[in-house]
Amino acid sequence: MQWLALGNLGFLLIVPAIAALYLLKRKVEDVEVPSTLLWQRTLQSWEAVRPWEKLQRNLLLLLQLLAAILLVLALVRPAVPMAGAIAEHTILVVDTSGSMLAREGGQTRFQRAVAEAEKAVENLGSGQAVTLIEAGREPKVWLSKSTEKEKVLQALYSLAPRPGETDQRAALSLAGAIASTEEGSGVMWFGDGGGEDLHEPGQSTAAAVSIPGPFRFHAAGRSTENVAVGAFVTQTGSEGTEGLLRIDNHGSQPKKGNISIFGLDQNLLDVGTFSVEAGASQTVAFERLPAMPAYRAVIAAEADGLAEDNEAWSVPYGSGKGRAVLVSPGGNRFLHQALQTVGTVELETETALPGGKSGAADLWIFDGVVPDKLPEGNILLIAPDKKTDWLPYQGVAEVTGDLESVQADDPLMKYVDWREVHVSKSAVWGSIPGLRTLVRAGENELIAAGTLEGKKVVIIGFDLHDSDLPLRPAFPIFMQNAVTWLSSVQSVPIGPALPGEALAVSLTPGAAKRVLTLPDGTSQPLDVQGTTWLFQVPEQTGLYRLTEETDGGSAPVERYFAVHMSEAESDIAPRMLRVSSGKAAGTDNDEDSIEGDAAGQSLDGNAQATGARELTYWIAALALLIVFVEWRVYRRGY
Amino acid sequence: MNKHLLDLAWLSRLERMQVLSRRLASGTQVGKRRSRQTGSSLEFADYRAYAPGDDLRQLDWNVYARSGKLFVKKFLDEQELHVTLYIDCSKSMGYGEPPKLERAVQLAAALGYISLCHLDYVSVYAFDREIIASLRNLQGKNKAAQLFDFLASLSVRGTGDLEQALRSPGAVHGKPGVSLVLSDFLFESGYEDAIAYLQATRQDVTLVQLLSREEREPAYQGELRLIDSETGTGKEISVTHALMDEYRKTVRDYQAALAQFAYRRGISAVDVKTETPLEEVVFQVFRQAGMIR
Repeated sequence: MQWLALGNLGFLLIVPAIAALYLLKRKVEDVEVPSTLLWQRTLQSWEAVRPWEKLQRNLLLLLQLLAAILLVLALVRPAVPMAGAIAEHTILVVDTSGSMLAREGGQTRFQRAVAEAEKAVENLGSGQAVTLIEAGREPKVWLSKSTEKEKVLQALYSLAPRPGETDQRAALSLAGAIASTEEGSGVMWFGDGGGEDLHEPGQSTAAAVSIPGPFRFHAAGRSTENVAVGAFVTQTGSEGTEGLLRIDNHGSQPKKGNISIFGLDQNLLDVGTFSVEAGASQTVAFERLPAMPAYRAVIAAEADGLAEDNEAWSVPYGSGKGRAVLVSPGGNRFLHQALQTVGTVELETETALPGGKSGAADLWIFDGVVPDKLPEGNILLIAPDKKTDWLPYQGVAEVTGDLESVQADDPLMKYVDWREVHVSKSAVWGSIPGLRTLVRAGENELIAAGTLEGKKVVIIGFDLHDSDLPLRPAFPIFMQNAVTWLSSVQSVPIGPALPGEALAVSLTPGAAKRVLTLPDGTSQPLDVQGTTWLFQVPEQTGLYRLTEETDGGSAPVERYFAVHMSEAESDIAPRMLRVSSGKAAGTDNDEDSIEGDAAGQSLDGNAQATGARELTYWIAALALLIVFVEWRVYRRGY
Repeated sequence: MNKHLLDLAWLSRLERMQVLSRRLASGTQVGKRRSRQTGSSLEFADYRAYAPGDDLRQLDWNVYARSGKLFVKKFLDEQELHVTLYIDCSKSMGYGEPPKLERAVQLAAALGYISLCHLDYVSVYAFDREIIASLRNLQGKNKAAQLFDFLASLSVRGTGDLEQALRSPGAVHGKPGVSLVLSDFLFESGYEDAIAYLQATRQDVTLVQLLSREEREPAYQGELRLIDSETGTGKEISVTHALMDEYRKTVRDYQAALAQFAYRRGISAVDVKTETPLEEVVFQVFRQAGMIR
C-alpha cells in the first residue's frame, strides 16, 4: 500500500472536530417524569435484546467519523502497488518486428507484449505520463506524454506487427533521447530483443545504448524453435527450372518436415522432405520444374515458432535472358568480358560476319565490322569502318577535346562518368535520322543511340583499343546500360527485397502504364518517370508483380519480385536487451532471468514511481455510501 | 362541599348506584344485603329523595303529609359493608392532565358517595410510603361532606410504597369488605405482596390503575435525561422510534402483568386513563368492570 499524498493526513483534524461538535451538541434535556420505572424496564429489555443498541445512540457520530476518515483516506490517495509504469514519465517501446509474430501458447509474442504494456498502462497512477514508441524499421512516436489511459490504450491497440526488421538501436536511442530531456523518465521495452544483435560478441556485457533513468525489459516469449526458409533460388536451365532451397533450423531441436513447391498458379510442382539438425541448415535441390514466372516453396515442420518465414517466393534467375551475338573479327577481350559481366544475355562469339540468314539474336554486337544489312535484333555497333546504305560513314578523325555527355538523363548515360575517358580517334558519320547523339567530343560525335528501322541501335564510334574507356569505371556501367536498353526484355529482373527497405526497381523505358500488384492482391498504378524507381517496400512478404504496358500495344510485360522476411527475424531466440540505465529497474544480468516473468522482476528503489492502482475513487464512493446510510439512519431516527 | 370534586348534577345519579362486592355473591350475607334493600330491616337509617321506580311501599307518607315531598325511608342493615378506599398520594400521582391524583380523588368521592348512599361504611386512606391521612368508618349520606372535604385536602407528597404503607399500623381496619386501591401502581418495590396482604385481610380488592397520557404515549424527542419525580434519579435516553415502540410495549406489558396478577388472585383490575371524562369512567368503565351497579 502506498500513500501518494500523505500530506493530506492533516485533514484528520476533522475527526476531533466532529467529536467536539458532538460533545457540544450533546445537551441532555432534563425531563421530570412521574416514574422512571417503566423506562428502566424498557431500557433493560431493549439492551438485553439488542446489545448493540448501546452503540446506536452514537451511531450517527460513528457514521460521521467513518465518513470523515474515509474521505481523509481518499485524500491521502492510497494506492496498491502494481506492476505498472516505472517512472513518472514512462516511455513504452513496443517491438513490432517480424519475430514478434512467433506464436507461443496460442498467442503471438506481439499480443503478449501488448497485453503486458496494457497492464502497465492500466496500472498507471494518476499524474504518470506515457510516451508510446513503436520500434519499427524506424522508431515512431505514437503518443507523447499522454496521461489519458484511453488514448494510450487506443494507440497501443493500433499497433500491429509487421514482417520487417526493427532498428532497435534507433528505437533505444530515441527513447533515451526522450528520457534525457525529461526528469523522471523511464523506459519499458516490450519485445523479444530479436533481430539484430546489439551486443557485439566480444563485449556482450557492455551496454549498447545508455538510457538516463530506469529501464525495464519485458521479454515477450522464450521459445527459440523455428524453422525457416533461408533461401530459395531458382534458375532456368536447359532442362527446365532448377531450384535450390535452404532450410535453416534456428532452434535447439532437430526438425523434420515436408517441402512443397508451387508454381505461380498455385499448382503443386514438386514435394520433398527435409531433416535439419539443431542450429544447422539443409539444402534441398529441385530439378526440372516446369517453367514458371515464379515459384513458391512452403515448408511444414512441427514445433515451429514463426509461420511467416515458412514460405518463400523465387523468381527464376535469368528469366528473359536474351541471346547476344558478338561479331568481332579482331577479338576484343574488354568487350567480351564486359558483356559476360552484364549477365542478362547469353553471349555467342563469331569472328566473321555470318553469311546469309543466321537467325535472329536479341542483340548483335559488331566490333569493327559493319553488316551490309541490319540483322534482326538490336544492334550495338562499335568502331564502324565502312559506309553502308544505313550508315553514312565518312572516315576517321582525330578526337580533340574532352568527352561530354550530351544527354545526361538518358537511360544509357545513367551513372556513367565520362570525364576521365579519353579517345584518340573515332569514326565520323553523317546524321542518321532516329539516332541521337549521346557523347561528343568537340565537333565529333562519339556515341549515338536511337531507333533505326524499328530496331534499337547504339553506335560507339571509336575502337575500344583507341581509348582508355575499358579502364574506367564508366565502361561496365555503360555496357550494362547499353545492353539493358538493347535487350529485348528491357530491364534486368528485380532482385529480392526485405520488407520496409527501399528497392530500386528498373522500369521499362517508355512504358505507358505501370501497375504494381501487392501480395495481398491490391494493385496500385505507378505514376513514375525514368528507368528506375525507388520503391519503398511495404510490410508485406510474398510475390509482387509489376505490369508494364508499352505504347506499342504489345503484350504487357509482367515482372515479379519476391519480398522475404529478414533472416535475422527468423532467429526468434529472445535476447536480453542490455542497456546502461540510470537506475537499473528490472534488467537482470542473469541471462536466465529471461525465463522469468518480466512483471515479477523486482523493482529496485524508486518505489514511488512504480505503477499503482489508486483506491481514491473507491474510498470516496464508500464514503458517499456511508453518508447516504447516515442520512437514512437520521431519517429513521435511530 | 368542594365544587371541583364532584359535579352536583350527577350526585343524584350516583345515589342510585351501588358498590358491588363479590363477597356478597355467595354466602349468607347475600340475603342480608338484599333484604336490607327491600327494607326488611326495621332500624331506620336515613331518608332519600324519591326517584321514579322506587318501591312505593318505602315512601314515608308521614313526611309527605308534612312537607309535600316524597321521601323513601332507608332502613339500616344488620350486616354493614365496609368499603375502604386507598388513594395513592405519591408524587408520581401529581402528573397528568388532569393530574392523576385529582382523578383518583374524584373517583374516590364518587365511589364513597355511592357507598354512603347505600349505608355502607366508608373508610378512606391516603398513603405514599405510609398512611398519611385517613378517614374511617363513615356511614350515611350526611357524612358525604366530611368525605369530600377530606378528599379535597389531599395532595401529593413523597415516594410511594404500597406494601410499606399497607403494613403500617392502622392501615387495615380488619373487617371484611370491599377495598379499592386507586394508584398508578408504579412502585419500585412492586405491588404484588401488598395486594396479597390486603386480600388476606378478607378484602374484596379492586385495583384501579390510573395512567396519564404522558405515561402511556410520551411525546419525547432527542436526548433526554428522565428524572424520577419520586426518587430523583435520572435515566438518560436517546429517543428513537424503536425505543418508543419498545416503551409502549413495556407499558402494555406492565398493564397486562397487572391484569394477569389480578386475574390470578381473583380480583378485578380496572385500567383508567386520566384524560377520560369522569362520568365515563364511573358510568361506563366501572360498570363494565362490575364494580358498581
